[in-house]
Amino acid sequence: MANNDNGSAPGAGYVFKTEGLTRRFSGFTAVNNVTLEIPQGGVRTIIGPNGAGKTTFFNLLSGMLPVSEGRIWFKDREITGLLAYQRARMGIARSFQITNIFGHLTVYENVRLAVQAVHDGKANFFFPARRMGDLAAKTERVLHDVGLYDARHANAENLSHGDQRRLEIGLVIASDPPVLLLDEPLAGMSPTETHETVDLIQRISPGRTILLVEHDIDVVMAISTTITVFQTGSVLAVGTPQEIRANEAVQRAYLGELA
Amino acid sequence: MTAQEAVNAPKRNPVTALLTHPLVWTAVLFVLLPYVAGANPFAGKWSGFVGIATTMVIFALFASGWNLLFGHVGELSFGHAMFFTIGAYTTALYSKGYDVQVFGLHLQHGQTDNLLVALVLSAVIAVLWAWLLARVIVPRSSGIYFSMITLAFAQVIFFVTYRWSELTGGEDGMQNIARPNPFGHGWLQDSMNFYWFCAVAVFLALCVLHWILQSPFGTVLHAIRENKQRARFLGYDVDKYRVNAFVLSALFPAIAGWLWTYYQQAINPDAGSVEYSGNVVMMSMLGGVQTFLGPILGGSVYYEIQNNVSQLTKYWEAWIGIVFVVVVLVGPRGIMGLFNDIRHYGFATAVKRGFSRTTRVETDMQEELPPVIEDPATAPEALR
Repeated sequence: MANNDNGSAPGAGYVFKTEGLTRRFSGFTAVNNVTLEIPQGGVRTIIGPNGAGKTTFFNLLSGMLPVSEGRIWFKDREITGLLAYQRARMGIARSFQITNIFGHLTVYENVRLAVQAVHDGKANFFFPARRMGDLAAKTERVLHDVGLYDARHANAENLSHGDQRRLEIGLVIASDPPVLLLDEPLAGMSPTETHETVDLIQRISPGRTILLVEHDIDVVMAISTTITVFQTGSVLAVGTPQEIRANEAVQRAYLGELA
Repeated sequence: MTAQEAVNAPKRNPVTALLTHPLVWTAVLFVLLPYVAGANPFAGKWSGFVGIATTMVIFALFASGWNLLFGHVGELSFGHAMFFTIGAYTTALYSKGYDVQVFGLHLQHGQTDNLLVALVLSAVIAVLWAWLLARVIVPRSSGIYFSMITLAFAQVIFFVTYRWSELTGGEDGMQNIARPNPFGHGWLQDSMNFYWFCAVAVFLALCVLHWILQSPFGTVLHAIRENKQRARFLGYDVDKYRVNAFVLSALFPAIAGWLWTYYQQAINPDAGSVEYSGNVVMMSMLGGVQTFLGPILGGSVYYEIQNNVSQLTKYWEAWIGIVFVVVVLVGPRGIMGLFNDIRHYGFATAVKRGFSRTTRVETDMQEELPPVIEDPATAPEALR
């Protein structure tokens, strides 16, 4: 496994480590024996052809699916058996490939729920929401960050697709998580929206580790610290964008079909 | 109005906020009810019946408690009468006393006359039962399975009250349960006084319910209703919230049951029957779920129809069924939904929306700009 020279400072540690991670769906192996360390910091992108197991890998890391075999660590703590909400509370936030927001709630309420999740169990939970000043301040800051402040009173379902994707990122960053899993955040966006969202991702990346699944290869090459290439459930290559671009196996498997 | 103007719309002034506050309308309704409940101008009956009004306010609370689960969490319980009947029987047994052998234990209790102890006992027993039940069924089921399991457990409670004659009086239940006399002079014996007592008690309970729904806890319930998976990935322990919501939604029917026993001064197993469970579903749907006022208004409309139609025909239940079907087909969001449409689109369009799918689609499409909603952090959840 090519784990050396992966762009991280020596000794920076990893956020995720997997060992023999495997997930099968009735006879079909979506993720096959993946042993991987994802170093702390930077934008860590996962690419691969459709069906390569990228999203399944995300689902295993975030706790949406139980593993069939193997183990997962998050910063030296094993999380293999933890539930999704427990992992979210440890600071692993994720977005979804298909827009996944609270459609009938307003943009403001969507973000406030995400902010509030961090306070869950600590604050007096029956205290009227409107009097929790720090919640409101934090919510408004996130709304400004993702550029949805002016649309805050709209129902989330009435937003444009690009704005919904941005709201989704807002939900992810609202809890100030150290680790973000973004599953195709640019899917279906117009060039302008793509540009704005890439800006947004770069703005929020300092001090965080961002795991990104993305198909837009130009964006991937531009913003990634390292790229991990998946193919048929296994890791084909790991390296910096330059290394991946030069890797012949990757070109055959993935880049070739685009070129 | 452009989207930008909509966003910059000024905050509502306090008078509007007050006039659209559901608790204000609840209070207005409760003050009017004893004078209009059961009245029928077509039959020349202009005055109301205080007994019908009492039933209406008690069921307003029962239905609102049920709706906490359905309207706000999205789980349909077909067994909420079990909490109503637990509250009612607890109050009856505490007031009237009992003398039974259980597993060789001799349990005995004399006649008591204490309103508040009866309330606390009813609430505690119902909440404990709900908690045990919720711990078992909530993490394991949702949707139709949840409905069926609540129904099954309600049947268990129903048959306990029906069969355990030594304790509950069996099919006949218990009669001659004295109303307590906390204010002296037999004040609660007067039916009008008793109505005001019920109205105030129910109103206070509804204030608590409203407060719960407005709290961060309430917002999380809405999030769970909208998208369980998303709520989980934000870090919410969804099942814990569902358990807590279930327990809370059992509390209010138990309080309603407490009042019901004192109102009837008798109790029989019907209070826990499938019919009662189903009735609150129907009342809430009539009034409009997902609104605070819906179940309150729906209960009143239900009993208004029942009292007037039952004098015309013995098939009054069929008429309730027809009204229910029409409401569900024409305005699935109930009376409050229709009312909100009228506020939003004007009367003519609102009615047309009910009958014409084309109009519905067209008016929905005109909403390309986001609806004007006042700052959710400061405004009441009024009439939503």
